[in-house]
Amino acid sequence: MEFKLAKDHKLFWLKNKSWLEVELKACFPTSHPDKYFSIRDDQGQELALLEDLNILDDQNKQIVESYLSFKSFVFEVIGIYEIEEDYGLRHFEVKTNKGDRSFQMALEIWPQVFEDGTIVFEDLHGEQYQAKNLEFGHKTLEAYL
Amino acid sequence: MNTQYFDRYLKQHATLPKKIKEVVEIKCADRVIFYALSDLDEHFEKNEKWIVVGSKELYLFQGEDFKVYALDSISVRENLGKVVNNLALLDKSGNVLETLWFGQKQNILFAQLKYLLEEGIENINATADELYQDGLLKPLLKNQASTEIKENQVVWRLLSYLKPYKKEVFQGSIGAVGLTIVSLFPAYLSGKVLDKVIEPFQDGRLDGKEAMQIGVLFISTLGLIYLAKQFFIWLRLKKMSIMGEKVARDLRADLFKHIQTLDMDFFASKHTGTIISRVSSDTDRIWDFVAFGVVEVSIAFLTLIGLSGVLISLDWRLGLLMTVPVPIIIFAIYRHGERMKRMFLRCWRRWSELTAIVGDTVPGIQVVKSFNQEKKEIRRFSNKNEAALNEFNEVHEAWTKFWPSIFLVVHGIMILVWVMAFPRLLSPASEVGHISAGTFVSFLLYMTMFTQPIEIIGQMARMLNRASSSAYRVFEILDTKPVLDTDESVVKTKLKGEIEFQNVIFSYDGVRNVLKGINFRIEPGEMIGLVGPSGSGKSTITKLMNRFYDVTSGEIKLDGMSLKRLEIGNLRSQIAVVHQDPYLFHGTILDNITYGNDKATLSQVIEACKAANAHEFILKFKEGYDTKVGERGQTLSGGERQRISIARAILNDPKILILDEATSAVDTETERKIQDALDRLVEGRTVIAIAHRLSTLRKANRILVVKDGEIEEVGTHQELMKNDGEYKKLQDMQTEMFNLLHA
Ligand SMILES: Nc1ncnc2c1ncn2[C@@H]1O[C@H](COP(=O)(O)OP(=O)(O)OP(=O)(O)O)[C@@H](O)[C@H]1O
Ligand SMILES: [Mg+2]
Repeated sequence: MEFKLAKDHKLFWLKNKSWLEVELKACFPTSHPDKYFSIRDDQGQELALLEDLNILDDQNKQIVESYLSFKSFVFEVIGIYEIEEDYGLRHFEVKTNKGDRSFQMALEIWPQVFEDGTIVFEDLHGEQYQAKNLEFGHKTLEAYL
Repeated sequence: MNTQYFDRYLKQHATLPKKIKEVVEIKCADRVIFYALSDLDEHFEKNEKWIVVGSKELYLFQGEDFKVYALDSISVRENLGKVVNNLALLDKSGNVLETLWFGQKQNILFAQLKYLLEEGIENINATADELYQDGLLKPLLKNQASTEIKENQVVWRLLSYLKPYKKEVFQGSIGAVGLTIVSLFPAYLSGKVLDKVIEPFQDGRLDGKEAMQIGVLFISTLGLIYLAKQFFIWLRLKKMSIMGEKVARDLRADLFKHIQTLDMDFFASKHTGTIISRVSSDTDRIWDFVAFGVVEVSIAFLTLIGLSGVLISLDWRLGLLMTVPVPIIIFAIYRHGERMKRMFLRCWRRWSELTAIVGDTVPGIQVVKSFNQEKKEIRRFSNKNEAALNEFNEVHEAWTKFWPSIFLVVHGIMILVWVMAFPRLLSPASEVGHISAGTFVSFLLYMTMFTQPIEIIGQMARMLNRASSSAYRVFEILDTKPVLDTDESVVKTKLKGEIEFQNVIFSYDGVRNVLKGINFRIEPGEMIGLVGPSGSGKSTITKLMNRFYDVTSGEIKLDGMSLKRLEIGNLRSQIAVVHQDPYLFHGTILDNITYGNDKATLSQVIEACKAANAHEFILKFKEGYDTKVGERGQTLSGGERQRISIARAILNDPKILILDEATSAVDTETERKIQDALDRLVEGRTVIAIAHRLSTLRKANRILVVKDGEIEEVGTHQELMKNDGEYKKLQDMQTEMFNLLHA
């Protein structure tokens, strides 16, 4: 299989000698993020199923990985400055790998804690944040887990 | 304006920066039609790049940089990730000119930008500022009422519920204050009797008869005091508990009334269980607090203050020794309470996780049993149960550590009082600093009274924490405002039944657009079929018509009037929806049929049921129309429920009728019956029928084919069959299916 990536990170797939604009959709983005990708055309029709990235050659694997690093990117939380309960929502001020950010979660939605200790936050707008090893702010966060 | 949302939450400008606006309007002599912010750069770090759409040009601003593209020379390409997205500007030959990166917050605006650039700027019906602010704030406003209250305000607000019961509060407080004052007397009198009667008598300074007289007086006074004490206790308990019940009733009434006004969004975002618990157990805890908590705590404080005064006046040195540490102790209790609050929050979480399993498993018990998963569910439950236990144990741990230490301190102080007092008791009466036995006995009696209020404050701190978090949850609902916005000038009107959708974009969650620009117009009296693959947005279109939700952008008009200008009750009473899986309330069939129209006569009911082909099956039940249905009642089949719901619709005589997949899940015979019923129902109304079996729609004036949130094709059955498009595909698939089943 052969892929190429455009400047806007659109992925193209070589099929029958022509480049086709495709979307690579992880089937199990959380539980098995590196297996089973559905290659879909711009109409959302599945063209092929890629079971494992390792069947690709190095160059194509790299392209796909760089594509996925955009598609499945979530902000990595490094520290928590402040969590404040406002009316109807919870406001977070955090330090991430992409600088300081703030986000809001609905009161009913709580950070999800996975078995390996990863904590996932999903904000009101659908933005996702992930915390693996917090440098600071454990104590602040603890009450909300 | 909601600038605080932008400053505090979104951390971006509330409008297009003035400087940029000036460049567009003055330097380029253009007008700002639409703008959006690209808030990320290609490394996904914070960025500020403004995109402004003018009448013929698109402008990009980044810092001092400024670029212009002619609108007709570019096209766009969207690339959505999990969290970061981009919209690329392409030139005529498909090369990427610019990649505009944006986070989820800007999602709605970029969807609009894309729609605009593809479909043309004529399609805009709001100012650029309105579109920008609406698009960004919607998800926030959905979640947040406009007021912002802090936890400690909750208690004050709760107290405001006492206002209508001033009389009870007053009487109850008299009881409380009286009790406090009266409780102080016995100890004082005892000391006095010791010093002024018993000691002089023993020293021979007072004769026996006189001493006896005083003794009798003393004991009867004591008796009267205890009598008064019981009276005050009775007064307080009676008034306060009655008032507490009334306050809880008021809260429940307010709550339920308010819940009825809330939007579908609210119900989608909250578990039924949590809403129920807020109406029931949360209001109950508040009753507890109002009835007893408030008073007990005030009494405790009053007692402490009274005691301190008395102790200091009895003997200022010992008195100060006792009273000075009290504020410190209370502060410690307060701090401890704050910590406990956090722990309670965690407990509450574990608790709701636990109840969620019950709430999930019981309605789904059929699935659990048929997949033989009882063991797994039990395991799931006991895991959560353990987690809850651990959390609660932690609370008790903290609790049991804290209180003994507090009492250790209190008792330490008592020992100290003895240490200080003993030499003074033994010193001669003439010496300065001597303390009489009577005074010291009073002092000791008061001292024992000291621990009780502290204990009460401690217990109440726990109650207060629980009650205030309950109150918080109750007020959270009370403060949720319906987000459907209305024009000021709402009107009631009799509809003719004309429906128009203009560029309707809609998203349930503000993240994914379910409808991506829907345009159509339905004349009064038309029958329209809505078909399309599952999940394409058909039901969503109908939900927007009776305003279960507001459009994200674009407009819906009924009889040429914006939906927002129509009074909602008036609107909904003229639109009837027959769902595929209709909900019947607990009650009789008759109740359910007359649900929207209780003025209907019995003969109208029967007529409607005959028209809906429901009359026959209803009479097969022993109780006929009085058969109980809904929870624990006679369970009806899907087709039966549907026909009742059709009868309900007929009885309401709506101008617009929406039939959502009315015939997809029933056998052919029932389908024919429902079909007959529908044919009768269709006369004289605008009808929108969603159908999976395309055969149902042969009679439709037009059929709209919906795919992926867009209208793909429009036409009659014959036209669409000729078209060889999506409709033909669906039809062929069904024929194939039919042949397969009947081969
Ligand atoms: N309350 C909701 N909250 C969030 N998303 C929803 C909600 N209801 C529906 N959706 C989503 O919106 C999309 C369109 O749903 P809709 O119910 O309109 O489809 P439909 O065309 O009626 O499908 P079907 O033919 O299966 O009934 C679906 O992808 C669905 O997942
Ligand atoms: Mg549907």
